[in-house]
Amino acid sequence: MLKNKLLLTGVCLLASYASKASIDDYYPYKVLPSASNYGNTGILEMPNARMMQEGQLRWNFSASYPNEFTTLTASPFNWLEATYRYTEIKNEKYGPSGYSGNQTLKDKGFDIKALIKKETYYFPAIALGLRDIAGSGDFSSEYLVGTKKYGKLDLTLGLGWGVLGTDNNIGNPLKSIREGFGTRNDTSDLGGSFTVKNWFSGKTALFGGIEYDIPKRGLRLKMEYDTSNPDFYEKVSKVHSRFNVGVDYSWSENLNITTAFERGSQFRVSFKLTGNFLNDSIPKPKPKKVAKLNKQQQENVKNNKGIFYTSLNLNLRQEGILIQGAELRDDEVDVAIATGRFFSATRPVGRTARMTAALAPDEVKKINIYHMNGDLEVAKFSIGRDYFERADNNKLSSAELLELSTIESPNEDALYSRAEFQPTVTFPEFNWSMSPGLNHQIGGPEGFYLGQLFWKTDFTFKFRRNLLLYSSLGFNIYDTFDDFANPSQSSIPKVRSDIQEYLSEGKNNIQRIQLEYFSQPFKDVFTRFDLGYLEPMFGGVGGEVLWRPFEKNYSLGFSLHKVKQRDYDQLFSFRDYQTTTGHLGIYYDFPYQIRSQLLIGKYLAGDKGATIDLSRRFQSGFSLGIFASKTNLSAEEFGEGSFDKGFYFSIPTQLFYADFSTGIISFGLHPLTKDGAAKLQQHNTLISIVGDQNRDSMIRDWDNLLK
Amino acid sequence: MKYLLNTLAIILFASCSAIDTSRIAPGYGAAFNSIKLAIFGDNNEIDKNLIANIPYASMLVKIGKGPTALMILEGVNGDEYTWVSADGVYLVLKEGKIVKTEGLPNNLFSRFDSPFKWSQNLYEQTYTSYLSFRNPRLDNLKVTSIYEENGKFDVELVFSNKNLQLVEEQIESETIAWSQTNEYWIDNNNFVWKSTQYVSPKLPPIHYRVAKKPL
Repeated sequence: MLKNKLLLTGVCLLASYASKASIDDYYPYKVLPSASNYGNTGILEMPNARMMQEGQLRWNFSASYPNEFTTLTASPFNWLEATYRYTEIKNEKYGPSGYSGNQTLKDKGFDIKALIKKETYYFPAIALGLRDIAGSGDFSSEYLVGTKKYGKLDLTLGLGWGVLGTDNNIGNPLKSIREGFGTRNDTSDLGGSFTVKNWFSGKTALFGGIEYDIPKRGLRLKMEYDTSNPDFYEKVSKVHSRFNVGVDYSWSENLNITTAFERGSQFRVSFKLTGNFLNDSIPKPKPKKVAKLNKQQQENVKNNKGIFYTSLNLNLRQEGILIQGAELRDDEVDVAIATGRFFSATRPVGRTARMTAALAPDEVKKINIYHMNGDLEVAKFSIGRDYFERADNNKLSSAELLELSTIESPNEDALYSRAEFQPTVTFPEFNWSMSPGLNHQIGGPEGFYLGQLFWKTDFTFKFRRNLLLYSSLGFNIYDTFDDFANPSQSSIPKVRSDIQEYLSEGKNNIQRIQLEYFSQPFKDVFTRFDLGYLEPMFGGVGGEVLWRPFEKNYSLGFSLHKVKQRDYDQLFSFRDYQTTTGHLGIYYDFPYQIRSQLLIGKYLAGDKGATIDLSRRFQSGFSLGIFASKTNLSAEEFGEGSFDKGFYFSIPTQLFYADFSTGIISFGLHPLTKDGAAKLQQHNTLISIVGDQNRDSMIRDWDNLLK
Repeated sequence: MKYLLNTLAIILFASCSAIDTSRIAPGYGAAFNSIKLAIFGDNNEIDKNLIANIPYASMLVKIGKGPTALMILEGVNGDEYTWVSADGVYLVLKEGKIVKTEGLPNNLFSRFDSPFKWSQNLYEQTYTSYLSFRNPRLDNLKVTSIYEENGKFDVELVFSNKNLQLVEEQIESETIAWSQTNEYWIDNNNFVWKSTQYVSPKLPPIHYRVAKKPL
């Protein structure tokens, strides 16, 4: 009897453990580590070793006195967070009142945080972070931090330097390695440079914190020992308490609200908006299925191929796929397609293969699909009809279908120009589109935010295949640009720094009117010629050539333009400045969908140097990137920032909708608009058209073929 | 002293990753509709005639905002009725209540209830159930129910209108702070013709309308 009781107790305990172990999935809120005041994942003022999930963007607004933070944090990997931040320092003026009125001081900063060791059963997660690098350094800190989870508790202990080391409660352990770690120097006046020699130097402090999750209520309670004292302007009364407390509420998976009481005297409220763009989570329309032809219909098709072409054309049009050429042969079908609906190339190819397999006579064994972007054929897929049908009926895996298919680069004689069936296209062809647009100037002395809402209207006339006239007009709706009062003081040709004049005088403008001609003279070699108003600030003539070997993960390009600066009103006249600009481009795709670009050449202001661009693309099409340029200008000639740098991201619009789309929402930010390292902003660059159309890209998206 | 900070950002412009070719090859349309009709025949609407011609008990089911699906009665085991859809979703109903699901992303694996019949007096007591889920697994989640009659209504069913009693069931699990309201439209013989039920915290509501009642 006792044995049975013990057994029953054991079973109950196990059941209770199993039940407890999984209940987290069923709470109404998903409580996750949340942002610190500084934007990246952390406690309040202190960081922890938790990280955002891969492929996320987080906007954080954290208000208190004297410091108010507005940040954007991205996670290109699950082990890396990068944060760009504006800090409003409310107890300090931007500058003399004659220069910036009553505006408070704004400080820019950039943080980076890397997970260097994942959490295990016994050991904490360890992260290393740098705060406010390449900025003015007012919040400059470095830290090494560990966080360990015990049930619903998250315990953090870390070592901080710089502002995080202000408490100076421990000696700098690195002094034993080198005496120089004992002192920390003031940062550069110009800002923007990496003061590496200061890192992990000077005062050091041990900090820590406790976080506790209450998923039933969507709360994460936070308490920390704060070793920073960023009220360095000494206009705030002294710190009353080193302990900060706060509570984070998960309003939804995307929105968190935090309230905190810090330093024994300050209240803080933060709003955190997070988007996860790793995968497309909104279901999209499934491929259209058609009934296979019966014997009589097949006979009709064999006797009159026109029936096949027209029915295929009609059915594909309903999927947003446009046949550019087709040829039904004895045992093969060739189809060239273009689409304005699908972001991924393999998806329309799969839908075309499915439709072709249904509508072609039984004798057809192989389907060749030429995928086009614009009027350029960029990839040829050869798929066995039987294999495709088996894969479509789950009798063959997607990987097996890939193994049995070929993907190659098409020859330069495009199918659309030699196919038996060529749809009638009447030239010139006219297209137009409209959308609202925004221009900003952020962080200037006249006001933190000056902006313009305008209406963007694009027209495209296509005179023949590969020859088009593209124009983009901007019509002002509302702006606050009349407040501009700080003309450029640049000592080199003002190719970008006259931005205030361009924005204020060109509110209604011709952004571009340009003639473009594309060609593919040889296999894998593409060219583009352009002429006209090439961007809002420059017009001219030039072109580019790109060699993109289809089988390889690299490309080489060269662009050259003779340009003249446009007038501030961005209508038809020019200014006196003219130059020749051009770059050699080397493009290389690393594993994990990391892309690199190295551009070497002469920039608009005549300076010579190189730009490196690194980006990570996710399976959803979401991209995150950073870039930096160094030219032969000295840091003094370049001005604040020391060298050109910035970041960007782009999100496919289809991630927000229940249908496919080729649209992209882009955001790019140069922290400073400078004349050095300024490139011509070209439209329809070859790398943007064919760069993501090599074999590796097709294999990456192969699974979409059956979806 | 801060330097002049000029920042230009272009935000939120919709652009196209490809050259817009949406107007290439226009002009095919009505002339080919006949060809389309000859080859196509699919229609996603569930045809009432189709339901009428199926010789089994059937009901229309909608899960959350998904499409309406037809389910037919697969089997009866005592007072449990198992319904199945073409895409392999199973619902087991007992007294019109969903007591088990299969084939959904998250499933109600089992439930243990206090003895329950629509014919008994339901309205002055709290009923307790223990629900177990799969994917992810959770066993024996305690859920309490309180029933309330809310009047009679003319309800449009698949083939007819019926005057049915609406009963609302307030369910609550204090453990995970989950509460919802289920609805049952019941005839005088205590048969549930129509219902909306929340069967799991991780599933949207399941709506069903019985088309052909089991014999």
